[in-house]
Amino acid sequence: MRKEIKLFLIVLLFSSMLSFLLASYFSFPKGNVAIIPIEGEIGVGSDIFSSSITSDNVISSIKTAEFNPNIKVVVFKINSGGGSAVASQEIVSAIKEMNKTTIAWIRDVGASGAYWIASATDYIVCNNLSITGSVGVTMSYLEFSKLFDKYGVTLVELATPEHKEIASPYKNLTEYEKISLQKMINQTYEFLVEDIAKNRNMSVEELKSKSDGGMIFLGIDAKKRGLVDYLGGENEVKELIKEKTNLTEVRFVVIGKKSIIESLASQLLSKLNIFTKQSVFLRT
Amino acid sequence: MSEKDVLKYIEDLINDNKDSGKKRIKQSILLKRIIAYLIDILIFYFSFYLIFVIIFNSITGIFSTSLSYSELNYYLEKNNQMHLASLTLFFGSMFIFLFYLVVFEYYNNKTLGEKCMHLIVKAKKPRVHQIIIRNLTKTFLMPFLLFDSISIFFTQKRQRLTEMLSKTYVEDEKK
Repeated sequence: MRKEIKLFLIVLLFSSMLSFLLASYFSFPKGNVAIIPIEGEIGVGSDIFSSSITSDNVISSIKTAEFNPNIKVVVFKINSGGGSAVASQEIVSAIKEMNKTTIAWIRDVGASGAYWIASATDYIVCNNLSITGSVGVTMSYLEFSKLFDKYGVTLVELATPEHKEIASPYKNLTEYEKISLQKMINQTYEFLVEDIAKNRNMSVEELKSKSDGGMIFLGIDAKKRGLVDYLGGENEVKELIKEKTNLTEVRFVVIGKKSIIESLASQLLSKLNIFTKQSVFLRT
Repeated sequence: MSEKDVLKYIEDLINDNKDSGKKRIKQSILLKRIIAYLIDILIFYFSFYLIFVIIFNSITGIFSTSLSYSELNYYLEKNNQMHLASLTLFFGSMFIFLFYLVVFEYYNNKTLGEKCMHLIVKAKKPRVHQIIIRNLTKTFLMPFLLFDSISIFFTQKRQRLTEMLSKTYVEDEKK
Protein backbone atom coordinates (compact mmCIF):
# COMPACT_ATOMS: atom_id res chain seq x y z
CA MET A 1 0.00 0.00 0.00
CA ARG A 2 2.84 2.39 0.80
CA LYS A 3 4.29 1.78 -2.63
CA GLU A 4 0.98 2.67 -4.24
CA ILE A 5 0.74 5.86 -2.20
CA LYS A 6 4.26 6.86 -3.21
CA LEU A 7 3.53 6.21 -6.87
CA PHE A 8 0.25 8.09 -6.59
CA LEU A 9 2.02 11.11 -5.13
CA ILE A 10 4.68 10.94 -7.83
CA VAL A 11 2.05 11.04 -10.58
CA LEU A 12 0.20 13.85 -8.77
CA LEU A 13 3.39 15.88 -8.54
CA PHE A 14 4.08 15.21 -12.19
CA SER A 15 0.59 16.43 -13.22
CA SER A 16 1.04 19.62 -11.21
CA MET A 17 4.47 20.33 -12.69
CA LEU A 18 3.33 19.58 -16.22
CA SER A 19 0.35 21.85 -15.74
CA PHE A 20 2.56 24.73 -14.54
CA LEU A 21 4.94 24.22 -17.42
CA LEU A 22 2.29 24.11 -20.11
CA ALA A 23 0.22 26.93 -18.65
CA SER A 24 3.21 29.28 -18.59
CA TYR A 25 3.25 29.29 -22.40
CA PHE A 26 -0.21 30.85 -22.58
CA SER A 27 -1.51 34.23 -21.61
CA PHE A 28 -5.13 35.04 -22.15
CA PRO A 29 -6.16 38.66 -21.90
CA LYS A 30 -8.36 39.15 -18.86
CA GLY A 31 -11.88 40.44 -19.26
CA ASN A 32 -12.25 44.22 -19.19
CA VAL A 33 -16.02 44.43 -19.02
CA ALA A 34 -17.83 42.72 -16.17
CA ILE A 35 -21.29 41.30 -16.70
CA ILE A 36 -23.35 40.96 -13.56
CA PRO A 37 -26.53 38.99 -14.22
CA ILE A 38 -29.73 40.07 -12.53
CA GLU A 39 -32.14 37.31 -13.43
CA GLY A 40 -35.29 36.24 -11.72
CA GLU A 41 -37.01 37.58 -8.67
CA ILE A 42 -34.94 40.01 -6.60
CA GLY A 43 -34.70 39.10 -2.95
CA VAL A 44 -32.72 39.97 0.13
CA GLY A 45 -29.91 37.85 1.57
CA SER A 46 -27.40 35.47 0.06
CA ASP A 47 -29.12 32.15 -0.49
CA ILE A 48 -27.06 30.44 -3.17
CA PHE A 49 -29.63 27.75 -3.75
CA SER A 50 -32.52 30.12 -4.20
CA SER A 51 -33.92 30.58 -7.67
CA SER A 52 -34.05 34.33 -7.10
CA ILE A 53 -31.20 36.79 -7.34
CA THR A 54 -30.31 38.22 -3.97
CA SER A 55 -29.05 41.67 -3.11
CA ASP A 56 -26.09 40.32 -1.13
CA ASN A 57 -24.90 38.29 -4.10
CA VAL A 58 -25.24 41.22 -6.50
CA ILE A 59 -23.48 43.61 -4.10
CA SER A 60 -20.69 41.09 -3.68
CA SER A 61 -20.32 40.91 -7.49
CA ILE A 62 -20.33 44.70 -7.67
CA LYS A 63 -17.50 44.88 -5.15
CA THR A 64 -15.55 42.24 -7.05
CA ALA A 65 -15.90 44.26 -10.25
CA GLU A 66 -15.12 47.52 -8.49
CA PHE A 67 -11.87 46.27 -6.98
CA ASN A 68 -10.65 44.50 -10.11
CA PRO A 69 -8.26 46.85 -11.93
CA ASN A 70 -8.79 45.02 -15.23
CA ILE A 71 -12.51 45.79 -15.22
CA LYS A 72 -13.28 49.18 -16.76
CA VAL A 73 -17.03 48.90 -17.32
CA VAL A 74 -19.78 46.99 -15.52
CA VAL A 75 -22.81 45.77 -17.44
CA PHE A 76 -25.88 44.63 -15.52
CA LYS A 77 -27.59 42.01 -17.63
CA ILE A 78 -31.18 42.29 -16.48
CA ASN A 79 -33.96 39.81 -17.01
CA SER A 80 -36.23 40.33 -14.03
CA GLY A 81 -39.72 41.50 -13.22
CA GLY A 82 -38.62 43.00 -9.93
CA GLY A 83 -38.96 41.78 -6.37
CA SER A 84 -38.31 43.03 -2.89
CA ALA A 85 -38.25 46.82 -2.54
CA VAL A 86 -35.53 46.63 0.07
CA ALA A 87 -33.33 44.36 -2.05
CA SER A 88 -33.75 46.57 -5.10
CA GLN A 89 -32.89 49.67 -3.10
CA GLU A 90 -29.78 48.00 -1.67
CA ILE A 91 -28.55 47.19 -5.16
CA VAL A 92 -29.37 50.70 -6.38
CA SER A 93 -27.30 52.21 -3.55
CA ALA A 94 -24.38 49.93 -4.34
CA ILE A 95 -24.45 50.90 -8.03
CA LYS A 96 -24.52 54.60 -7.21
CA GLU A 97 -21.37 54.21 -5.10
CA MET A 98 -19.44 52.71 -8.00
CA ASN A 99 -16.69 54.68 -9.70
CA LYS A 100 -16.84 52.83 -12.99
CA THR A 101 -19.07 53.25 -16.02
CA THR A 102 -22.22 51.19 -15.61
CA ILE A 103 -24.67 50.03 -18.22
CA ALA A 104 -27.99 48.25 -17.76
CA TRP A 105 -28.71 45.79 -20.55
CA ILE A 106 -32.35 44.74 -20.36
CA ARG A 107 -33.13 41.46 -22.08
CA ASP A 108 -36.70 40.03 -21.93
CA VAL A 109 -37.96 41.91 -18.89
CA GLY A 110 -36.60 44.77 -16.86
CA ALA A 111 -39.57 46.01 -14.93
CA SER A 112 -40.45 47.38 -11.53
CA GLY A 113 -37.55 46.85 -9.10
CA ALA A 114 -35.35 45.71 -11.98
CA TYR A 115 -36.07 48.95 -13.82
CA TRP A 116 -35.25 50.84 -10.61
CA ILE A 117 -31.85 49.12 -10.63
CA ALA A 118 -31.39 49.90 -14.33
CA SER A 119 -32.17 53.57 -13.72
CA ALA A 120 -29.23 53.78 -11.31
CA THR A 121 -26.76 52.97 -14.10
CA ASP A 122 -25.23 55.48 -16.50
CA TYR A 123 -26.97 54.10 -19.59
CA ILE A 124 -29.89 51.77 -20.22
CA VAL A 125 -29.97 49.56 -23.31
CA CYS A 126 -32.91 47.35 -24.10
CA ASN A 127 -34.30 45.40 -27.00
CA ASN A 128 -37.14 46.85 -29.08
CA LEU A 129 -39.45 44.24 -27.63
CA SER A 130 -38.15 44.13 -24.08
CA ILE A 131 -40.73 44.74 -21.39
CA THR A 132 -39.93 47.54 -19.03
CA GLY A 133 -41.62 50.14 -16.89
CA SER A 134 -44.07 49.00 -14.20
CA VAL A 135 -42.91 51.79 -11.92
CA GLY A 136 -44.95 51.06 -8.84
CA VAL A 137 -45.29 49.15 -5.60
CA THR A 138 -47.46 46.19 -4.76
CA MET A 139 -48.27 44.06 -1.77
CA SER A 140 -50.34 40.91 -2.04
CA TYR A 141 -51.08 37.71 -0.20
CA LEU A 142 -53.70 34.98 -0.16
CA GLU A 143 -56.34 35.40 2.51
CA PHE A 144 -58.11 32.27 3.71
CA SER A 145 -60.61 33.59 6.26
CA LYS A 146 -63.68 32.92 4.06
CA LEU A 147 -62.42 29.45 3.22
CA PHE A 148 -62.09 28.70 6.90
CA ASP A 149 -65.64 29.99 7.51
CA LYS A 150 -66.94 27.75 4.75
CA TYR A 151 -65.46 24.65 6.30
CA GLY A 152 -66.16 25.60 9.89
CA VAL A 153 -62.56 26.14 10.82
CA THR A 154 -61.96 28.64 13.57
CA LEU A 155 -58.70 30.47 13.89
CA VAL A 156 -57.58 31.18 17.41
CA GLU A 157 -55.14 34.01 17.37
CA LEU A 158 -54.07 35.87 20.46
CA ALA A 159 -51.98 38.96 19.99
CA THR A 160 -51.12 42.19 21.72
CA PRO A 161 -51.61 44.89 20.58
CA GLU A 162 -54.60 44.39 18.22
CA HIS A 163 -52.79 45.06 14.92
CA LYS A 164 -49.91 42.73 15.62
CA GLU A 165 -51.41 40.17 13.26
CA ILE A 166 -51.90 42.65 10.44
CA ALA A 167 -51.72 41.05 6.98
CA SER A 168 -52.22 37.59 8.43
CA PRO A 169 -53.48 35.26 5.68
CA TYR A 170 -55.91 33.69 8.13
CA LYS A 171 -57.98 36.70 9.03
CA ASN A 172 -59.90 39.39 7.28
CA LEU A 173 -58.17 42.73 6.87
CA THR A 174 -59.96 45.53 8.72
CA GLU A 175 -60.60 48.87 7.04
CA TYR A 176 -58.10 50.61 9.30
CA GLU A 177 -55.43 48.02 8.54
CA LYS A 178 -56.14 48.32 4.81
CA ILE A 179 -55.66 52.09 4.95
CA SER A 180 -52.43 51.69 6.92
CA LEU A 181 -50.99 49.24 4.46
CA GLN A 182 -52.01 51.42 1.55
CA LYS A 183 -50.26 54.33 3.23
CA MET A 184 -47.07 52.24 3.45
CA ILE A 185 -47.35 51.38 -0.21
CA ASN A 186 -47.87 55.03 -1.15
CA GLN A 187 -44.85 56.08 0.88
CA THR A 188 -42.72 53.44 -0.78
CA TYR A 189 -44.00 54.54 -4.17
CA GLU A 190 -43.09 58.16 -3.52
CA PHE A 191 -39.62 57.09 -2.46
CA LEU A 192 -39.26 54.93 -5.55
CA VAL A 193 -40.46 57.55 -7.98
CA GLU A 194 -38.30 60.26 -6.44
CA ASP A 195 -35.22 58.07 -6.74
CA ILE A 196 -35.88 56.97 -10.31
CA ALA A 197 -36.64 60.54 -11.36
CA LYS A 198 -33.34 61.67 -9.87
CA ASN A 199 -31.51 58.83 -11.64
CA ARG A 200 -33.12 59.66 -14.99
CA ASN A 201 -32.71 63.44 -14.64
CA MET A 202 -36.40 64.23 -14.70
CA SER A 203 -38.91 65.66 -12.28
CA VAL A 204 -41.20 63.43 -10.25
CA GLU A 205 -44.26 64.69 -12.08
CA GLU A 206 -42.62 64.04 -15.43
CA LEU A 207 -41.76 60.50 -14.44
CA LYS A 208 -45.23 59.82 -13.06
CA SER A 209 -46.68 61.04 -16.31
CA LYS A 210 -44.29 59.02 -18.49
CA SER A 211 -44.63 55.86 -16.44
CA ASP A 212 -48.41 56.11 -16.96
CA GLY A 213 -49.56 54.81 -13.60
CA GLY A 214 -47.27 51.81 -13.38
CA MET A 215 -47.84 50.62 -16.93
CA ILE A 216 -45.47 48.27 -18.73
CA PHE A 217 -44.01 49.24 -22.09
CA LEU A 218 -42.16 47.68 -24.95
CA GLY A 219 -38.62 48.90 -25.45
CA ILE A 220 -39.59 51.04 -28.44
CA ASP A 221 -42.18 52.89 -26.41
CA ALA A 222 -39.92 53.17 -23.38
CA LYS A 223 -37.30 54.87 -25.56
CA LYS A 224 -39.85 57.41 -26.80
CA ARG A 225 -40.84 58.12 -23.22
CA GLY A 226 -37.24 58.61 -22.18
CA LEU A 227 -37.26 55.67 -19.80
CA VAL A 228 -34.37 53.98 -21.62
CA ASP A 229 -31.46 55.41 -23.60
CA TYR A 230 -30.66 53.00 -26.41
CA LEU A 231 -32.31 50.15 -28.26
CA GLY A 232 -30.33 47.08 -29.19
CA GLY A 233 -28.59 43.96 -28.01
CA GLU A 234 -25.09 42.73 -27.34
CA ASN A 235 -23.53 44.50 -30.33
CA GLU A 236 -25.08 47.80 -29.35
CA VAL A 237 -23.82 47.36 -25.78
CA LYS A 238 -20.30 46.78 -27.10
CA GLU A 239 -20.50 49.81 -29.42
CA LEU A 240 -21.77 51.93 -26.54
CA ILE A 241 -18.90 50.80 -24.35
CA LYS A 242 -16.36 51.68 -27.05
CA GLU A 243 -18.07 55.04 -27.62
CA LYS A 244 -18.27 56.08 -23.97
CA THR A 245 -14.93 54.73 -22.80
CA ASN A 246 -11.51 54.48 -24.39
CA LEU A 247 -11.70 50.71 -24.82
CA THR A 248 -10.95 49.44 -28.31
CA GLU A 249 -11.65 45.80 -27.51
CA VAL A 250 -14.46 44.49 -25.33
CA ARG A 251 -13.86 41.26 -23.44
CA PHE A 252 -16.72 40.16 -21.25
CA VAL A 253 -16.28 38.35 -17.98
CA VAL A 254 -19.32 37.20 -16.03
CA ILE A 255 -19.21 37.78 -12.30
CA GLY A 256 -21.66 36.15 -9.97
CA LYS A 257 -22.80 33.43 -12.31
CA LYS A 258 -24.16 30.40 -10.55
CA SER A 259 -22.30 27.16 -11.04
CA ILE A 260 -24.10 24.23 -12.69
CA ILE A 261 -24.68 22.57 -9.31
CA GLU A 262 -26.08 25.75 -7.79
CA SER A 263 -28.37 26.31 -10.79
CA LEU A 264 -29.69 22.75 -10.73
CA ALA A 265 -30.20 22.84 -6.96
CA SER A 266 -31.97 26.19 -7.08
CA GLN A 267 -34.28 25.00 -9.86
CA LEU A 268 -35.17 21.88 -7.91
CA LEU A 269 -35.64 23.70 -4.62
CA SER A 270 -37.71 26.48 -6.19
CA LYS A 271 -40.18 23.85 -7.41
CA LEU A 272 -40.41 22.33 -3.94
CA ASN A 273 -40.87 25.74 -2.30
CA ILE A 274 -43.61 26.87 -4.63
CA PHE A 275 -46.37 26.80 -2.03
CA THR A 276 -44.42 27.83 1.02
CA LYS A 277 -43.50 31.38 0.13
CA GLN A 278 -46.07 34.12 0.38
CA SER A 279 -45.01 37.60 -0.59
CA VAL A 280 -46.36 39.85 2.12
CA PHE A 281 -43.53 42.34 2.06
CA LEU A 282 -43.51 45.34 -0.26
CA ARG A 283 -42.55 44.54 -3.80
CA THR A 284 -41.49 46.81 -6.62
CA MET B 1 -6.58 -20.85 -32.21
CA SER B 2 -8.22 -22.68 -35.10
CA GLU B 3 -11.86 -22.43 -36.02
CA LYS B 4 -12.56 -25.77 -34.37
CA ASP B 5 -10.98 -24.63 -31.13
CA VAL B 6 -13.12 -21.49 -31.12
CA LEU B 7 -16.28 -23.54 -31.73
CA LYS B 8 -15.34 -26.00 -28.99
CA TYR B 9 -14.69 -23.13 -26.59
CA ILE B 10 -18.09 -21.67 -27.30
CA GLU B 11 -19.68 -25.14 -26.92
CA ASP B 12 -18.03 -25.54 -23.52
CA LEU B 13 -19.33 -22.15 -22.47
CA ILE B 14 -22.86 -23.10 -23.44
CA ASN B 15 -22.70 -26.60 -21.93
CA ASP B 16 -21.09 -25.39 -18.71
CA ASN B 17 -18.19 -27.87 -18.77
CA LYS B 18 -16.76 -29.60 -15.68
CA ASP B 19 -13.72 -27.38 -15.77
CA SER B 20 -16.06 -24.41 -15.72
CA GLY B 21 -14.44 -23.09 -12.58
CA LYS B 22 -11.20 -22.34 -14.36
CA LYS B 23 -13.04 -21.27 -17.49
CA ARG B 24 -15.23 -18.90 -15.48
CA ILE B 25 -12.18 -17.21 -14.11
CA LYS B 26 -10.83 -16.81 -17.64
CA GLN B 27 -14.21 -15.59 -18.89
CA SER B 28 -14.57 -13.11 -16.07
CA ILE B 29 -11.11 -11.63 -16.70
CA LEU B 30 -12.48 -9.60 -19.57
CA LEU B 31 -15.14 -8.10 -17.33
CA LYS B 32 -12.56 -7.51 -14.60
CA ARG B 33 -10.28 -5.74 -17.04
CA ILE B 34 -13.10 -3.50 -18.21
CA ILE B 35 -13.99 -2.61 -14.63
CA ALA B 36 -10.29 -2.08 -13.79
CA TYR B 37 -9.99 0.33 -16.72
CA LEU B 38 -13.10 2.23 -15.63
CA ILE B 39 -11.73 2.49 -12.10
CA ASP B 40 -8.46 3.82 -13.48
CA ILE B 41 -10.35 6.44 -15.50
CA LEU B 42 -12.27 7.54 -12.41
CA ILE B 43 -9.12 7.74 -10.31
CA PHE B 44 -7.38 9.69 -13.05
CA TYR B 45 -10.33 12.06 -13.58
CA PHE B 46 -10.91 12.90 -9.93
CA SER B 47 -7.29 13.35 -8.99
CA PHE B 48 -4.63 13.99 -11.61
CA TYR B 49 -6.89 15.48 -14.27
CA LEU B 50 -8.60 17.75 -11.74
CA ILE B 51 -5.30 19.07 -10.42
CA PHE B 52 -4.03 19.53 -13.94
CA VAL B 53 -7.06 21.53 -15.03
CA ILE B 54 -7.29 23.59 -11.83
CA ILE B 55 -3.66 24.68 -12.04
CA PHE B 56 -3.87 25.30 -15.78
CA ASN B 57 -7.00 27.40 -15.35
CA SER B 58 -5.65 29.37 -12.40
CA ILE B 59 -2.60 30.44 -14.44
CA THR B 60 -4.17 30.98 -17.84
CA GLY B 61 -7.76 31.76 -16.80
CA ILE B 62 -8.97 29.78 -19.77
CA PHE B 63 -12.23 28.82 -18.10
CA SER B 64 -12.63 32.08 -16.15
CA THR B 65 -13.74 34.16 -19.08
CA SER B 66 -17.38 33.32 -19.58
CA LEU B 67 -18.03 34.46 -23.05
CA SER B 68 -21.26 34.88 -24.90
CA TYR B 69 -21.67 32.84 -28.05
CA SER B 70 -20.74 35.66 -30.39
CA GLU B 71 -17.78 36.64 -28.26
CA LEU B 72 -16.56 33.04 -28.14
CA ASN B 73 -16.67 32.92 -31.92
CA TYR B 74 -14.71 36.14 -32.07
CA TYR B 75 -12.15 34.74 -29.69
CA LEU B 76 -11.73 31.50 -31.55
CA GLU B 77 -11.22 33.40 -34.78
CA LYS B 78 -8.86 36.07 -33.49
CA ASN B 79 -7.09 34.23 -30.75
CA ASN B 80 -5.17 31.19 -31.90
CA GLN B 81 -4.02 30.59 -28.37
CA MET B 82 -7.50 29.36 -27.47
CA HIS B 83 -7.23 26.53 -30.01
CA LEU B 84 -3.74 25.69 -28.86
CA ALA B 85 -4.70 25.80 -25.20
CA SER B 86 -7.61 23.42 -25.80
CA LEU B 87 -5.33 21.01 -27.63
CA THR B 88 -2.73 21.36 -24.88
CA LEU B 89 -5.33 20.49 -22.26
CA PHE B 90 -6.36 17.39 -24.17
CA PHE B 91 -2.92 16.05 -24.98
CA GLY B 92 -1.55 17.06 -21.62
CA SER B 93 -4.25 15.10 -19.80
CA MET B 94 -3.71 12.06 -22.05
CA PHE B 95 0.00 12.24 -21.33
CA ILE B 96 -0.66 12.30 -17.60
CA PHE B 97 -3.01 9.31 -17.89
CA LEU B 98 -0.34 7.40 -19.81
CA PHE B 99 2.24 8.40 -17.22
CA TYR B 100 -0.01 7.08 -14.45
CA LEU B 101 -0.57 3.74 -16.22
CA VAL B 102 3.11 3.31 -17.08
CA VAL B 103 4.45 4.25 -13.65
CA PHE B 104 2.11 1.91 -11.82
CA GLU B 105 2.48 -1.03 -14.21
CA TYR B 106 6.26 -0.70 -14.39
CA TYR B 107 6.97 -0.33 -10.68
CA ASN B 108 4.01 -2.22 -9.26
CA ASN B 109 2.93 -4.59 -12.07
CA LYS B 110 -0.58 -3.24 -11.76
CA THR B 111 -2.50 0.01 -11.77
CA LEU B 112 -4.86 0.92 -8.92
CA GLY B 113 -7.82 -0.32 -10.95
CA GLU B 114 -6.10 -3.61 -11.66
CA LYS B 115 -5.21 -3.91 -7.98
CA CYS B 116 -8.88 -3.49 -7.07
CA MET B 117 -9.83 -6.28 -9.50
CA HIS B 118 -6.91 -8.52 -8.45
CA LEU B 119 -5.24 -8.44 -11.84
CA ILE B 120 -1.56 -8.34 -12.61
CA VAL B 121 0.41 -7.39 -15.71
CA LYS B 122 2.99 -9.96 -16.66
CA ALA B 123 5.90 -9.96 -19.05
CA LYS B 124 9.21 -11.83 -19.37
CA LYS B 125 11.31 -8.74 -18.73
CA PRO B 126 9.03 -5.77 -18.46
CA ARG B 127 10.56 -2.63 -19.91
CA VAL B 128 9.26 0.90 -20.09
CA HIS B 129 8.73 0.91 -23.83
CA GLN B 130 6.68 -2.29 -23.57
CA ILE B 131 4.43 -0.76 -20.93
CA ILE B 132 4.02 2.38 -23.02
CA ILE B 133 3.04 0.42 -26.13
CA ARG B 134 0.47 -1.70 -24.27
CA ASN B 135 -1.20 1.43 -22.87
CA LEU B 136 -1.29 3.56 -26.02
CA THR B 137 -4.80 2.49 -26.97
CA LYS B 138 -5.99 3.28 -23.45
CA THR B 139 -4.82 6.87 -23.83
CA PHE B 140 -3.82 8.65 -27.02
CA LEU B 141 -5.22 5.99 -29.33
CA MET B 142 -8.42 5.46 -27.34
CA PRO B 143 -10.65 5.41 -30.46
CA PHE B 144 -8.88 2.19 -31.47
CA LEU B 145 -9.34 0.45 -28.12
CA LEU B 146 -12.28 -1.63 -29.26
CA PHE B 147 -10.44 -2.77 -32.37
CA ASP B 148 -7.39 -3.47 -30.23
CA SER B 149 -9.48 -5.59 -27.87
CA ILE B 150 -10.98 -7.93 -30.47
CA SER B 151 -7.99 -10.25 -30.27
CA ILE B 152 -8.81 -11.00 -26.60
CA PHE B 153 -11.35 -13.57 -27.81
CA PHE B 154 -8.88 -15.37 -30.01
CA THR B 155 -5.63 -15.48 -28.05
CA GLN B 156 -4.80 -18.01 -25.38
CA LYS B 157 -3.53 -15.42 -22.93
CA ARG B 158 -6.40 -13.04 -23.70
CA GLN B 159 -4.11 -10.38 -25.09
CA ARG B 160 -5.02 -7.22 -26.91
CA LEU B 161 -3.12 -6.46 -30.12
CA THR B 162 -0.88 -3.95 -28.37
CA GLU B 163 -0.25 -6.48 -25.63
CA MET B 164 0.82 -9.00 -28.22
CA LEU B 165 3.13 -6.34 -29.70
CA SER B 166 4.59 -5.48 -26.32
CA LYS B 167 4.72 -9.14 -25.24
CA THR B 168 2.75 -8.53 -22.05
CA TYR B 169 -0.48 -10.02 -20.75
CA VAL B 170 -2.86 -9.61 -17.86
CA GLU B 171 -3.63 -12.41 -15.49
CA ASP B 172 -5.81 -12.97 -12.49
CA GLU B 173 -3.69 -12.53 -9.40
CA LYS B 174 -5.67 -15.10 -7.43
CA LYS B 175 -4.92 -17.90 -9.94
